[in-house]
Amino acid sequence: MERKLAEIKVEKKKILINIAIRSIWFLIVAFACIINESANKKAEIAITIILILLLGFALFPLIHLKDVLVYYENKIVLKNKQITFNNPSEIQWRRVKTYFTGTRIKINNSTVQESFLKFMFCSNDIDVTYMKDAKDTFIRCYLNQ
Amino acid sequence: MIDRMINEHPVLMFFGAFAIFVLIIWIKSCIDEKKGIDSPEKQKVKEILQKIMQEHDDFREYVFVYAYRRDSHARSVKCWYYAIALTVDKMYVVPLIFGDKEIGHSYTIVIEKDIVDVVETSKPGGPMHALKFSDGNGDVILEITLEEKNTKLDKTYPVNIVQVEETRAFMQMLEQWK
Repeated sequence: MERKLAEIKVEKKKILINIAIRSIWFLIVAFACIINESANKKAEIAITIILILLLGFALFPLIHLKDVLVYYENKIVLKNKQITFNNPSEIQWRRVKTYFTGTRIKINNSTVQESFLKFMFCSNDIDVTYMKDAKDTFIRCYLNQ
Repeated sequence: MIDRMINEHPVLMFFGAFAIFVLIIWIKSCIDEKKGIDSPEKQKVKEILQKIMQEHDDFREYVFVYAYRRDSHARSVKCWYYAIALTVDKMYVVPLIFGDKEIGHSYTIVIEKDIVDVVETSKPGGPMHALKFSDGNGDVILEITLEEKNTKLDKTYPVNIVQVEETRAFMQMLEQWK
């Protein structure tokens, strides 16, 4: 049984900010629909479907509301994902800029050799964008000792 | 009134807005430079190096500086930050990690003068120095950028550290490594 060093919960403010960023697309399409009223029934249905999809996209961060990031002595766990390491300096922190969802903060083990597919789909990464003081807690738990 | 000005002089308004933007950035960097002379980040880097030197039982005179390495590729930027203490024959390189409030460090790398074959520096006298340390096989041991004035610009420039005298002393001591 590994020793638990810290448990980090989600910062609701970060989730709300991300929802606001994602909602921009929903608002643009909704606003465009209000301005250009269409009499075409098919177009209305298509726009309604797009709006529902964009609303789902905007509210998607809510599924992370109950996430808990746990720092153990030799691993970091978030839901069903985990990163193991021998030395905390192996952990690499990255800020990834995306077009539609703002800047993401991801961590991975920089020493692990990853396959092309895993690299493309970032399946070795843990996304800690919504976690409260994840990096500060990491520094306090593993470094400066 | 603003609408009328934009319609009548669009180019002038554009350059006016640009000038205001540049002025704001300049004022911010001036304020940050003043803060950087004795900022908490500078104190923390100093403390880390003092601790490291004590751990290595090295009580000789050393020069300390903050340096970084930055690689930009399209939309992604990779940065490495270091606290460096230089003595006559050893260089202690401490990788730094910056959180929102905390500054962490990982294990120290000690580079001895004997293994460094070539030290490449940019032209002396400027406020910024690109340094490259290579061994006898031509392999790069360390590549860093050393600036006299580091100010917070975005998340990739996380500190206000002004180190004019320290940089000059570092470059002077580095001459002995060449």
